[in-house]
Amino acid sequence: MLSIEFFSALGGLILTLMVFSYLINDNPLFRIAVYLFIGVASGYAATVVWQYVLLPKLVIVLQSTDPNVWLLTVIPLLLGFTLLAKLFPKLSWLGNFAMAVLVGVGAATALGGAVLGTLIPQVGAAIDALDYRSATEGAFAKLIEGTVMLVGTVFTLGYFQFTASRAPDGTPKRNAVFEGIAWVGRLFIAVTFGVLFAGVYMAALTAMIERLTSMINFIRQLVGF
Amino acid sequence: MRVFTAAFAIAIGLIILLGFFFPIPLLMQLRLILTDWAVVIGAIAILVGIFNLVSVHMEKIRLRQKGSSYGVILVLALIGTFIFGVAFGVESPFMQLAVDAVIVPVEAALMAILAITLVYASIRLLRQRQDLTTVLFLAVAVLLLAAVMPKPFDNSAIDQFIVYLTGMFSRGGARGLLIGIALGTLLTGLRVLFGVDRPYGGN
Amino acid sequence: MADLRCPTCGKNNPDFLDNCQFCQSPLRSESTLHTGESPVKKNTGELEPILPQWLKDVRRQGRESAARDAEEEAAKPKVQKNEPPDLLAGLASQARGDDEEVPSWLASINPITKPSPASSSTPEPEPETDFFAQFKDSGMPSAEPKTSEPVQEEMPSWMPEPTAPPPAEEKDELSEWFAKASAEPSTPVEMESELPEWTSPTEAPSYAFKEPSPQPKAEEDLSWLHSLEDSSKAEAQPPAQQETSHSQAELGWLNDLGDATSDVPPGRPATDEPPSWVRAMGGVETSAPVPPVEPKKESSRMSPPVQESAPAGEQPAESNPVWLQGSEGKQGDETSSEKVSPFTRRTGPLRDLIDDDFMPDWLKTATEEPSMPAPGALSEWFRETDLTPQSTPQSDSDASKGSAPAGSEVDSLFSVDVPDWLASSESDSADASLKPAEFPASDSLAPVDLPSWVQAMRPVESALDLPQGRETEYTESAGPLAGLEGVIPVAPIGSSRRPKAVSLKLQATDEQHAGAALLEKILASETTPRPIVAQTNIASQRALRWALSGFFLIVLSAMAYLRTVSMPIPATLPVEVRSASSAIARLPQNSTVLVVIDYEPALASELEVVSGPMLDQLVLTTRARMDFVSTSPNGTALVRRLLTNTGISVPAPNGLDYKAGENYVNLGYLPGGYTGVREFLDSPTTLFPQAGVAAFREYAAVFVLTDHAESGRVWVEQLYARNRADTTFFSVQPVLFATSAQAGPMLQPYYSSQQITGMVNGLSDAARYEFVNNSRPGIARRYWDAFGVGLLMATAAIVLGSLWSLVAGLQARRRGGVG
Repeated sequence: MLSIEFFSALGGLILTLMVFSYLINDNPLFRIAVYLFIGVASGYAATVVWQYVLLPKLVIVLQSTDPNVWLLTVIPLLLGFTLLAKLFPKLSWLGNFAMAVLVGVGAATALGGAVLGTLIPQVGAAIDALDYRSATEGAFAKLIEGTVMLVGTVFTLGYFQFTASRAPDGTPKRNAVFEGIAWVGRLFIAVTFGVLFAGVYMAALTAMIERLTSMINFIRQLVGF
Repeated sequence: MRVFTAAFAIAIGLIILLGFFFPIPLLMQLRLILTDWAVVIGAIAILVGIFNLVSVHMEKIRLRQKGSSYGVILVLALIGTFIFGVAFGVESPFMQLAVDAVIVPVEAALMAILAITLVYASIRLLRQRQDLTTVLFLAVAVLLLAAVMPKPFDNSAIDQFIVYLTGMFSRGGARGLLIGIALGTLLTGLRVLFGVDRPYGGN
Repeated sequence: MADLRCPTCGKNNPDFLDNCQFCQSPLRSESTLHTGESPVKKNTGELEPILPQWLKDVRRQGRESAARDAEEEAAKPKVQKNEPPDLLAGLASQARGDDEEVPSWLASINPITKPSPASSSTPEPEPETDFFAQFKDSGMPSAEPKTSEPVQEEMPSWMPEPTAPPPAEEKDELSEWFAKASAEPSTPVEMESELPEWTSPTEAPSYAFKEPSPQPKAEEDLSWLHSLEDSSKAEAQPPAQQETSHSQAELGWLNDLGDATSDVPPGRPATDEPPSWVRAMGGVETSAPVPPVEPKKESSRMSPPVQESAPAGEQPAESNPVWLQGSEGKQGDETSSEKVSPFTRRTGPLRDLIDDDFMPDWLKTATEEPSMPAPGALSEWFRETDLTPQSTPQSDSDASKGSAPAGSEVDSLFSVDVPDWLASSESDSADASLKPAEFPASDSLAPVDLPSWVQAMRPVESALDLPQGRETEYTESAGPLAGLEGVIPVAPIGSSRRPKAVSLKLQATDEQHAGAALLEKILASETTPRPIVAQTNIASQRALRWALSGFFLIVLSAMAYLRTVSMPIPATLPVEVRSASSAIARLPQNSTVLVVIDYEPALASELEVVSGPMLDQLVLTTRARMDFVSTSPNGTALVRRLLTNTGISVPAPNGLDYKAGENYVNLGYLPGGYTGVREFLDSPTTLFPQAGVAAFREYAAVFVLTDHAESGRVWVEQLYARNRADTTFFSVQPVLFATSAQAGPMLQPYYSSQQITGMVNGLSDAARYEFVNNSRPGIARRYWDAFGVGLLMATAAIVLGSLWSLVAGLQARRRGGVG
């Protein structure tokens, strides 16, 4: 009865109720639950980093006989710990090299991924969507769908085009064509966000159902029916 | 020093970027080493962030600022979890308890609150804004929810058409957003690689 | 060997001497007067750099002090009962406070003290009559020479100053200062009851030299006079061997200037507004037209009037201002300057300098800067600026005597390298003189310590500006000009020299205005008070929130408690789910697949529901070995939970009996975001030596369980980018996504572009997939009814609430519109 699952379920029940108390109003119970969650989650994350990243590297450093491997392992560790200097303003410059590595590698990786993984294939897909000949069935429907998607893509991008010329009174004013494109693009974005909104609600609803189901199941076990 | 840091970041970025387009063995090897360094540094950065979190709350506790009692809970929970985790491992029962009793329930409960909050916000949305995009936004959301909704009767044809229609329009908008994000990423990456933006403190 | 008379002490010196052997004053004028040269259109701002340092400093300090004075002016209360009108305000201080400070040269050139050019007697205490008599004379277009006194024609050293006019920006600065000062109400000073009209305070706004507390500045204001004195001394003794041709050439420009009064050279920028004191010079030229002659230098306008130029040495006394005559003979009499009354001391060059709407910057600064260079230095500077005088005083007198009417002498004084702004001033002054100004009824001016030289300034220029036919129309009956005829013209003196109105309005472009308007709009929106929400509204919102919360929690709890499974699940699979199922079915047996845990504990339940059927099919059909990797630190703890809730790790017969290390491996946390994903794709074993594959391509399939579109996009991008390097990658390695409902719509385009092989999105897809998968593992089925009720409640609440909000909003807007 007093297994770890029981305590887990009990703790889950209590903390869930404490969080749900926020629906009434902000209160200390809610805050306790949230602060406890932050502390535990951070501690767990630190443990995971230690166990899955740092500890293996330290083992390599301590056990490796290959100087190259040793050096290639020590350097990032040293660079990583220089990030601690960021906590102290006078020494924060020490962490700049580690940040430079992070930023340089991250920017290049993101850039390459964005170009090769999104930009080129998505632009190609937007164009290919009009290729109704490739459709084995429903060529007209595919043409319509491709056209709508292409229009949606272009007009949505057009919505984010904020370059404007100045009107005689000095106020920035977009070109009439771009204004129309932006207006249509805004409608596409509204549809997209409507779909996303429905998705977020469904995800949250699923989480709520799971929480309620877990609590009721635990209470069932406690009560015995 | 700043110039050297910038040159360091730019050089690393160029090596990584060239590795995307030119699969030269030496370049690939360099890229792998640098990527591994970044991964290790990124992991340590998490620890640094957590350390900073603890220090901030410790300072609040020391100064007895308002709400510092919650900080005590946070710090104790964090340190306790970390000590137990390091001592007994991530797969230990205590860590399982921490996840199942605290992390998952609280996060899921917070997500559950979001469901009610979203409904409440959508009800009041038209009170705040009454334009075509707002009406379209709510109409699409309601239509999709209604289409996805389980029904005691067979309405699959209409539901499928609604899902198809909304999906067709939303995919167009989503693709535009994705391309826009990619363009933004491209621009930001280029600014970093050209040294225009120096978030590493070199500016 | 000719002797040179010292302009300071009046004693003769040998001509080889540069400085007076008695008083050490410079004997030779190294001034830059080039009489006869017509104005050359050029950018006078070019002369700015060649100014000597001391003059630059003076100008700079003058500008600073002007701004400071303007600020003080604005800050001080406007109680100036005893001050003269604005036009004299700045000079009144000198009149009162510099009795002991007036330099001797100024006293010596006082026309009152020297009523006759030939006389060198001490100053007479009747300044007005004698002094203004000169204007009568000067105003007369007479060619009769009185006395030929070379020194009389000598241009004072201050005269070349206009050749180096202040830059336009400085002029604007001064104009602004004037405009600012003129905007302040001025209190007219009671002078003699019948002072001339030009002294009317109505002109005060135009001559805003008002200084609230001028007394302390008297000394330093007059300091510049010292330098002027030196300069005048230096020029008072021109070289005797000056060539006559120079003198002829000097007056050639007069003709052009005379023409220029009605003919503005084309191309001159209209905005090149000169100081009004320069325009006053132009007024002189108006009355002194000289026929054009052969050009000497640069243009025909510079040609000297050969036929009409008088021989050197002759002096047209009538046309010569008395103060100039006085400066001839009594420059060295310093003691006399201390004895004269204030009315008798302040004449000479100051007239043209100060009696003007625009005090030039250089003068303005000079009046405030006591430090001046030595006279020799000043001459040196003039020499360096290539403005060496080419004419003698005699030549000036010749020209004026021969042809120029009254006032031409004054012109000759300015006959130097006249810049374009000077040329333009001619037309301005001419135009202004032709237009009678509208003088409002002015108050009579009370006699105060109005310096005579100050008064002298206006009549002379006025006379010069005045059309000839009107010069003798008036006889002054009262005031300092009583008994004089025609000395004060009815011409609009003030208006002729009224400075061009410089608007205080900020000179900004339309774009700047637009930017300012936008900024103001933003600031206004930020500072606009927003109505505080009424308490009742807050209470109603809280009640609504509580009602919604209670309704949802109660209903969904009831559904969970009842465990109903009544709602049917559609059997039709979405195309992306069908693709995922097909891809899993094609996987080889006992293959190794990668499962990415890319979600947070908040949506663990949903992802478990969504990925359950997919993983169940995978395990059932292929018994694949699964490598779990998490991109979230907390994700590592979710692996066990996932496998437990989906029944995969549950021992048989209730589960699929997957064992850790044997059937699945939790590789752990993959840090670094983009970077970590990329490294793992390049070399899985570098980060996780316990990985079941040596290379990433050995994974039979990749399952990404994500709750966030951004993190899911990272995997798609990096996988696809890697595929470009390894073209066989996607052909054998399907990428399958199990996504939260909130992330699915943003990842749909990747399925459309075939970067994702198959996708299960949210509980709705999962329920269908599970239904097709023989209702395994059954999690979705348990949630399905409650899910349906939750969606129904949400739909109803949103529809009804939106309608209510719409109506309430419209009503509120209508009320607001009515209100």
